[in-house]
Amino acid sequence: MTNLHKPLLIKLLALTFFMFAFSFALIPLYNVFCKVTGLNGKMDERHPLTYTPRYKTANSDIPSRLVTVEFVVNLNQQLPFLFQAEHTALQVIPGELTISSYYVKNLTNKKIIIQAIPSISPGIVAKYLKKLECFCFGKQALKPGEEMRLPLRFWLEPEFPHDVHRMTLSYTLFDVTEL
Amino acid sequence: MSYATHLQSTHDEHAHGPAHGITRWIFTTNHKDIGTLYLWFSFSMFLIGGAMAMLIRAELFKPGLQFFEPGFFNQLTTMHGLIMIFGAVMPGFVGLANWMIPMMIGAPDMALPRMNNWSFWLLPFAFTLLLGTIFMKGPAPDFGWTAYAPLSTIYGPKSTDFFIFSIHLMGLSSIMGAINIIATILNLRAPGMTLMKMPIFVWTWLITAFLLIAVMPVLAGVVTMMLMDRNFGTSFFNAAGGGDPVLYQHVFWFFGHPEVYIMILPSFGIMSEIIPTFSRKKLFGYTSMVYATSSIALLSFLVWAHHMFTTGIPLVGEIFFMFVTMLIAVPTGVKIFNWVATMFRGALSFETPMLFATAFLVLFTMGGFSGLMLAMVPADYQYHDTYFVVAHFHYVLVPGAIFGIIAAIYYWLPKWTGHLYSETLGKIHFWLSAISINVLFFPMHFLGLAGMPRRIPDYALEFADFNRIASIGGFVFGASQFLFLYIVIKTIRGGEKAPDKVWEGAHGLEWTLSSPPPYHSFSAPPKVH
Amino acid sequence: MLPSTLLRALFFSLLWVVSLPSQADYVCNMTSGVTEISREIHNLHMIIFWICVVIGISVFSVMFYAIIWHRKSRGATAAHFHENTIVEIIWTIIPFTILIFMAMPATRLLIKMHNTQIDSELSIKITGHQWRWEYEYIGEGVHFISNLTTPKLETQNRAVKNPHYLREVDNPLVLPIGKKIRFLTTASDVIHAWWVPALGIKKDAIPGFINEAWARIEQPGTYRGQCAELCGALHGFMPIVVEAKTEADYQAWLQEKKAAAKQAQSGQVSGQAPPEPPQTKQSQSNHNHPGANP
Repeated sequence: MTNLHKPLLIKLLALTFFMFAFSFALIPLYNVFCKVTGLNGKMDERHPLTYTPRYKTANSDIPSRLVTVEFVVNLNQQLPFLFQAEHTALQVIPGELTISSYYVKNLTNKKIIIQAIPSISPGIVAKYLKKLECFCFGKQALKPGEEMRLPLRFWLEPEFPHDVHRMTLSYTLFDVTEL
Repeated sequence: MSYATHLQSTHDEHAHGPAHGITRWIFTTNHKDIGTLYLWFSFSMFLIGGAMAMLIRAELFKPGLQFFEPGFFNQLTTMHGLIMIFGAVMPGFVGLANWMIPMMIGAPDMALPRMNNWSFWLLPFAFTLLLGTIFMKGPAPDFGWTAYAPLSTIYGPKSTDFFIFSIHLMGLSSIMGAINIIATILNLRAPGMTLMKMPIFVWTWLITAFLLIAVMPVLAGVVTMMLMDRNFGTSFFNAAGGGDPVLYQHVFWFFGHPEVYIMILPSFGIMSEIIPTFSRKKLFGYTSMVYATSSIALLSFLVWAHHMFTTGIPLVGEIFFMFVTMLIAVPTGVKIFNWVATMFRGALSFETPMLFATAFLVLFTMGGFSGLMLAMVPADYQYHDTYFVVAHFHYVLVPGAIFGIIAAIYYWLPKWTGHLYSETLGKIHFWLSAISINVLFFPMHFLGLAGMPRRIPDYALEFADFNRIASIGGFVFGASQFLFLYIVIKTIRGGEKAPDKVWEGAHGLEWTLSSPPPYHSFSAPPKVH
Repeated sequence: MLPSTLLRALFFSLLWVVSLPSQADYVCNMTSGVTEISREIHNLHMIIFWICVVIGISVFSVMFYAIIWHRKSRGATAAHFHENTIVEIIWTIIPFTILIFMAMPATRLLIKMHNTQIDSELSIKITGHQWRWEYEYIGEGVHFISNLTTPKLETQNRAVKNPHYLREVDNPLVLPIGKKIRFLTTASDVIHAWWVPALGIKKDAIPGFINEAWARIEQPGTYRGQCAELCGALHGFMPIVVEAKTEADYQAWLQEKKAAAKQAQSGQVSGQAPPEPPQTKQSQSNHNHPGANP
């Protein structure tokens, strides 16, 4: 009796397995879609990049356009660390390299490995922020009581949207010792 | 293989009646028995999920924490949702599909009767696992039926892993059932029954079955990712490892939105059977009903992010999902118009199935309107995660899906049992249910608009009045369903003899069979005109 | 079945019930709030609502007409029509057109709501914790935690509930009116959501990520909201209280808070609360732009 249904059954089972695989494929698919469309607000995490000073037009853009970049820090799950940005905010010219840093201190009596996760708002400017050097590129291990000053060097592409005057760059520190 | 040869083999295997005793029900491969099993299972789950709802409404009767710790309240709301969706509504429709589809298309049974048995018996195991989490040490799942990460992954209790396994079993059951239904409908129709001659109930189930195969594996995928994040060190939804909690929502709702259409399309099919019968008039616009149902199913894949408008998706995304969500109103409206046009200038009578169908038309449409309001993104910022949403989905699920199942049971119970149910009792059940359901859910619109969030066990004083009204409606509605239980049992055990064609205006192959139909019907294919 | 007079009575009662939300009773309807956005959201909500009411009445009138006049018991005989392509096309196109007219104001308002960056004058970082909110005034060195203050005795029904039961906190978020404020939301554990109906803002607070929303509050007053995303056991017990003050009152409050923060820092031993950020320095490639935030 199953011979009657076999061709259809094979197709339906294939569809089932395809959709199961598709659900896992959604993860890389989302990343590709978001990169291609520039949506979703995730920054370019590729490194190393090379920086060359570049301005959108030869003259008229340089003096008049400044973007306020706010630096915001977060500690996930009340991680007992000191985490401070060197600057709360900076006036940045799109195209120029900006240098800043963060101060981290392990207040516990255990060695802890941290990962800083960046996030940016508004999402539309994410693709214009390029990082030359960022402590978020990798994990950092801090011994009990150890403190570090971690670098951040970035620039905003000259194509940065004209109607955005203020943006926020956020770092959240996660404890990844167990991960 | 030809239809005749197929019949030959089934005929040889089952030349006797049903087995006796408990083994009949454990080993049956008969679509009528399995339909009965699904329906009783669904009813039990409806009562269990309903009991949880009664506990929730009891806690919410007054401000203050009267009965439950907030953590346990979250377990109640989670389990209520899971049990109603996966235990009551979905198995209820599958039970109706099992009973009716073979008879409606003139087939002797489902395409794969033994897989059919397994599809059913997976469910009691799945729900023993799920309900068992209440009795395990530590909390039962308490993160809402939607199980957002990281609440369910990093912060989920130990029982979450059992919840995940339970979902896998339910998914397996649904997928196998859907495969069975598609194979049955596509391959076992009696000669002469072309696709466009099928009853609409069969059409809506064909489309629902494809939706099930498309999205239940996605649910399986997302809960597997949860399992991996919880136990195998992955970071699908954990920002620390480079993942994203919002990704959970995207994948979950890619399943979740078609899921709600899975829960309503069979009800649409039932309405398309009942309304023409009691209007004594053919369904208006058969072809457009088929196209409208198909469009709804296709569009349902494109709207998932309307559950996520406040997560921070970009403007372009919000506009797209708003437009496509609004678009679904068009084919849905077409269906409503077609049902009303069927009734218009018919010769109407209002036996219990038709009462439930009429209530469906009004109340499901109201649920549709609140859905349209929710689609407007700026307004959704005020509605999202409030009781306005709770009102919306309960209107489309209770007077929508549940009334569909109840209407179908009244409609076909005389056929199944050979006895007429008591029309007086049926009407009492209807009026109690229809009125109390509005007392229960209508005030929730106001609560949401006034600012009451979802999933809270205690609330500010300005929400007290409507909560009290809703709870009273809930208690009456809950109690009324025991009347329904009584009516069903009473009808099974006896009553006025039902003719083959129970309803004057009924058309379709199932009405050519006796009431009750033989254990094996259509061993020889019927003539279809 | 039911006499037609009773049916008519039921129908009109339904109409009355349906009109309740428009009677501007705060308990029944959405607030118009105190921002331009919240007002426009309310207007959009009412427009869509009334369109739905009109459509509903039109459709249900036809249905109720049939229920009353096309009953077999009344002697009606069934007609035989079961399709009409022209009618079906019309009742597909008309709803589609109505939807387009609904979508236009909604899209305009949505674009306005997404415009967070132009001309904002104050940024507040909002962090959701299990189960309280934390507020930080970016660039001002002020930050604090906001906890529910309703006494447990009230929740346990052993004391009379005060009027702001479950919607009162120790440290409200104090904001100036008339300024465009940017709200940045994040969380430190699970997903929460920051919702103040009077401001027209609801935004998820997601661990590891920031979201933003904006508001310009038009009137001083106290505005209350709640967490709007299930976040664990005490999800219902982490309210939000915003106190909007005139610019002068806000500045006075802010100076007080800054002074207190400085005092706390000098006398404080524990490192849990991050101290004042170091003096903001200009990086070498930046130009000093007068009037903007340093």
